[in-house]
Amino acid sequence: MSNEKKKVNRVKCTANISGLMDNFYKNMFDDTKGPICWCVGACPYEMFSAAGVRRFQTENHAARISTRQEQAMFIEVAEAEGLSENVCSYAKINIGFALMMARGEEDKIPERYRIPKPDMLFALNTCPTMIQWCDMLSDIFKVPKFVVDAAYIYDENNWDRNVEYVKSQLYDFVRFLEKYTGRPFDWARLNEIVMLMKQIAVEWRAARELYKKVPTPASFLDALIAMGPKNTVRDEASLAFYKDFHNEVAQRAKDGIGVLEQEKYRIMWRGNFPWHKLGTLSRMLAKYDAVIISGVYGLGTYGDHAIDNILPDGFDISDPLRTIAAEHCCRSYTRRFDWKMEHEFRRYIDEFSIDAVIIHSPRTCRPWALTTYDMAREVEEKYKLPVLVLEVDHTDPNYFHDAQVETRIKALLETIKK
Amino acid sequence: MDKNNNQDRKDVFFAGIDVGSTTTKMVLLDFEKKIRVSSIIPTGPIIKKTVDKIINICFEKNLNKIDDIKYCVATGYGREMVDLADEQITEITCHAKGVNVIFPQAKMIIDVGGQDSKVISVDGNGSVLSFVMNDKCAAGTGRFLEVIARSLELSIDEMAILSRQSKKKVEVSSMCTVFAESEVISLVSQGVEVSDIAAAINRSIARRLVGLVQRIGLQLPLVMTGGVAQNKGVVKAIEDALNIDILISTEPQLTGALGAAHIALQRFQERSDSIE
Repeated sequence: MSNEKKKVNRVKCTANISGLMDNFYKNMFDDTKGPICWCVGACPYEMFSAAGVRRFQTENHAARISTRQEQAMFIEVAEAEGLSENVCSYAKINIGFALMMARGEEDKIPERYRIPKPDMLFALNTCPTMIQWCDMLSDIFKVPKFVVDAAYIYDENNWDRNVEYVKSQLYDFVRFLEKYTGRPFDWARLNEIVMLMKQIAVEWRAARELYKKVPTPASFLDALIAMGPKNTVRDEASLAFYKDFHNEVAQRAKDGIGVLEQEKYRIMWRGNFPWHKLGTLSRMLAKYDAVIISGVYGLGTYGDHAIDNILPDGFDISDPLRTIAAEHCCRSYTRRFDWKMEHEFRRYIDEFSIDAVIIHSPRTCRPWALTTYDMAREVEEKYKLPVLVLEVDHTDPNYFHDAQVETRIKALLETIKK
Repeated sequence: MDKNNNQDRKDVFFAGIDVGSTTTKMVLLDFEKKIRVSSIIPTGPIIKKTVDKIINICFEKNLNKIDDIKYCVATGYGREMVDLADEQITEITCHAKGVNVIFPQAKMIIDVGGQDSKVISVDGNGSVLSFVMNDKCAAGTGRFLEVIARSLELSIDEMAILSRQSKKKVEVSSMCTVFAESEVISLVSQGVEVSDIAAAINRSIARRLVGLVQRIGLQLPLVMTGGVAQNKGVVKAIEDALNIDILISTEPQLTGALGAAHIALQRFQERSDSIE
């Protein structure tokens, strides 16, 4: 009986993302669109659009490679260069990629992943690794770099101060962009992009709130796939996609169409996600009539953290740089501390009918892995829900063994009392 | 089947089969929850053959045929290869149930098998509250003991006996089984007593397991299951590290299969009740 494969009813319009993303990366080779900046960490995309700079976000690219199981080659190149196996696997994929480009080995890189070499670099220390990662890219490509420092948010008292600190650095970044593009920064375009992002956030948020319904019309895994355009592309075509996504999810919710034929267990996922195992995990859970409903990784957009009661709403169209500072640079899960944990779980567990929690402890990411067992205990004690801490990785394939993972997931489901 | 027909009930059995990485275990229970037969055999490279073999062994001992098995639960990593099984349940759940049968007062279980180890906290009914397992590494498992024993040219039992003669504390610090083996060889070449090395190995395993226990938080009474529970040296090292006494059944390796057999009986009774 447990060998039976069960159908996973994915949101259909996510099939269009491939085309959007392929187009985006193809446009990277259009030199008429300005210089190209490789970005490490939370990236103020809006500013690049306003400055006429093509931007390439390194983590998203690494995740994309990983979803197609083609990351091993790049990781091996990075480790051969001397990076430890414990270093962030996103970083190793990108650094391996960069090394191959710098060595003239682009022909070994599958065409769909190729990107032009950078004219400049940007980094924001979403986590400490980002700065060293950017330094390595700077050594490889010998191009100017700009680094933004975002301080740790210990409690709500230093939130405002941190936003202002990041904002002041973004003013300096405007001058950097003007210097290296040779053109004035387009503040009107910045406002347009910020408003566009706000509209995307509204559609995205509305779709995700529908996951509260039982059965859920879409899963967290649909959301992970669907987040590509808003995290990477961020243009009018992206807004059109999110309207389609919202409409389809809303229709499925109205018609009672679920992700699974029989939805028995609703799971919350905390932490980043093993991109190379999206399909595997989806099918593995479906086998036991389980679906991941909610999670906090990578889904944030303008205003999310206010709705989740984690941080104040930083959106202010009259002050776009402050908006960007607040929404991109100060909300990363790896820059916050234990006091946020409660907020992360409470709303999702209370409102999304969660039966159990899986906390991902990635082997090559210390910030995400640091508080996992504290969180597990808190969820068990406060919410009386069973918890599984899953030690795999976001992109390194060496740390995911299907049989081991399946045993742990099944054991978690066996502890759920229904 | 008429449940009130005692003659029929005598010929009815419930099977638990635990297909582990090193050994495969089987328990047959009768309706009175008595163990009618049990068996432990090495798991061979072809799991289906191992499963067929253990079923035949048990049936020969108990004079069974297939139809006598009214419900079978399979557990362990090879659980999906048991064609006889009506249901597959993880070893976490089955060990919790098995321990509850033998030690109903237990609150925590340390299970150390051939290639993995786990710590499970349970409630008074044998239900799992939480669990942690070792990941990616054989250190702290039966395989670790096998590798080291081989490097010392001893059996595991001999190593356990020798460890009790240790007079000097040395450390084997490596987290990795293979590197620990290198470390042991180096200690031998330095003239360190084998008894001291054996005791160090026990402490090394205990450290890994205590780490798992502390992730959940120690709960007492604590029971140890799995093949390594028969190793008095390792058990003593864990007891010393946690400053507790550990409960161990007479056949700790059978706990998973026993739990699976009890769950099989329970499932059959639930089905029979729902039909009535």
